[in-house]
Amino acid sequence: MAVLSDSDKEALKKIFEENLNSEVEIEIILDYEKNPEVSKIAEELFTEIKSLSNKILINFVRSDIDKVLEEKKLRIDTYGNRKGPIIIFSKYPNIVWYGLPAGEEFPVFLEQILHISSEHIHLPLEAAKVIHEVSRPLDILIFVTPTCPYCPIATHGSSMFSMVNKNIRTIIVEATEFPELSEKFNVYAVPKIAILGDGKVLDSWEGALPEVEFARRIKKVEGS
Amino acid sequence: MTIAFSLQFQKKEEIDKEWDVIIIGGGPAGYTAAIYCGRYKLKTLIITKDIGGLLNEISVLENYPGFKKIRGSELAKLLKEQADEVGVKTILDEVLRVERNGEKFKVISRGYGEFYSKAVIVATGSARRKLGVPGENLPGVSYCAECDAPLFKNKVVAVVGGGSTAFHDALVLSEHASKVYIIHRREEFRAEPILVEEAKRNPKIDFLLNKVVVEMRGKEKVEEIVVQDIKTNDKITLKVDGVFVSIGMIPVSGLFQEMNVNIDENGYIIVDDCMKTNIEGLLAAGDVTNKGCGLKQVIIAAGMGAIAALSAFMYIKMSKW
Ligand SMILES: Cc1cc2nc3c(=O)[nH]c(=O)nc-3n(C[C@H](O)[C@H](O)[C@H](O)COP(=O)(O)OP(=O)(O)OC[C@H]3O[C@@H](n4cnc5c(N)ncnc54)[C@H](O)[C@@H]3O)c2cc1C
Repeated sequence: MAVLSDSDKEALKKIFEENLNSEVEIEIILDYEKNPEVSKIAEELFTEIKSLSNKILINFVRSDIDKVLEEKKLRIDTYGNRKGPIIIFSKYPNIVWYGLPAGEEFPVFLEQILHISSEHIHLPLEAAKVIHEVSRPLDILIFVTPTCPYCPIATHGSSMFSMVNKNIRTIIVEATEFPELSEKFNVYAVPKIAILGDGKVLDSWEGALPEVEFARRIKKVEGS
Repeated sequence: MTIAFSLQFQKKEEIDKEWDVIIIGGGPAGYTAAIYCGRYKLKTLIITKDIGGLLNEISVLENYPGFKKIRGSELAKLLKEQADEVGVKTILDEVLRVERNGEKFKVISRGYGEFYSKAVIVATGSARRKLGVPGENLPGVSYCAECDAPLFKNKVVAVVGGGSTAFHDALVLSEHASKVYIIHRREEFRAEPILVEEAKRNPKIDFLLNKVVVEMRGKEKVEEIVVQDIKTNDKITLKVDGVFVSIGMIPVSGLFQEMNVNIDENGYIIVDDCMKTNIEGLLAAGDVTNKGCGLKQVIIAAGMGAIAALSAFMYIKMSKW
């Protein structure tokens, strides 16, 4: 059975046709060993997405997950994650999804594709300025669920930050697919955001902040 | 797995400082006011912390006329699209202060700074009331079942409250949790009977009536709650993985107290039938107001938003207050 409905496919095709400038390459790290069910959905979903535009290049990675994570320098060990599927944009390897962008997150993911294709950053000027000045590599972990309508505020904001500044890596975690990780970070309400530097949690909170406030909070912990 | 999508674009642009109307809050009251203001050709800005307000917490809305069933967040997107189409500008931000500045209002937001407008419509809605018991700040105590329910798969949770929202929360949670307790201090419920019946039929939902939660305990997160019977005063301890508090709402009106807006003893902004407050040019609509016979619902909030827009139009274009 198809993952996307026919009407969604039609609409998506049109959106891609009208909005994609340059090619966007996406790597999907599948993990049939530890997460066969979701990996299968991932493969189907991205095969369908790929068929909708020749500007979307999908690269399925199927080798040993540990090795791939190591190679990609995802420093994932710090967070205890050794599971897929994982989604990475080739041009912005600092935008990463652990698990599938389902439900409320799907529009955010599609927007990421369009924004990356057009190099268009959609942020309040003030937020972009603040983020531009961050000079230390930071990981922003954002835990979400597919039914969380407030989560896209956080995931959209952070992925735009990652486009502004390569020091900011956004890792969006589908909390229900990664229970061990969620437990480790005490995720009992979403969105839960954790800012990490050198693998240490520098700040964390529950709830989405408007972009400018979010940016300032990141800048503030940079020195800690 | 269903994957729904809708895309919204906003170009990066400088945002004007001067507006006819600034609407604070993007729930159904705010967005309905926005749609009407747009159609009245008023230059309109919405400043809101999110798109849709509490609509986002309604998993299925079944009592908004014209839609047999719609996800609250879906309706929120439709409202925003409709407002976009009539030229309303939305920015995601928090308003910190509103001041009267001569003929105009000065609206100060956290991220974008100052804006000016001829009229302001307050549609800040309400926020969930807290229980005020020890341990309530522990992780695992939540106020949005729609957001957090999937995190409690096969877990035991308690919902505190007896109104429609509590029943809504319990029903959403029962799709994921293994057991849901509804803890309510009375025997009868204010909730819509249709929801109560559904909950009573649900094998995962158990009722603890005439009882109140007096404490929540746990090391790193909530692990158990202490429940007291209000008749016998007997206490029991219940092992739970999560607690959802649904004991009613409090209006988000604090911002306007400093401005000397008339507010009633429960914190609701006092408005007349045209949604006017005691301050010329300042209107209020939706759950934050004292109108609507206490029926806090989407349709009512939307209706008030429409009236507030008309009053703003009359004030700005016809100089009528
Ligand atoms: C779980 C649940 C289930 C419900 N089910 C139903 C139902 O089935 N049917 C029904 O009709 N109603 C239902 N309701 C009630 C309904 O959601 C509300 O009555 C309605 O949303 C009120 O609309 P509003 O626009 O007045 O306020 P809200 O929806 O509360 O919106 C207020 C807005 O103001 C914003 N805001 C607040 N302060 C600021 C600030 N300082 N700066 C910027 N923005 C600010 C908020 O972010 C929000 O966007 C339910 C509510 C809940 C919680």
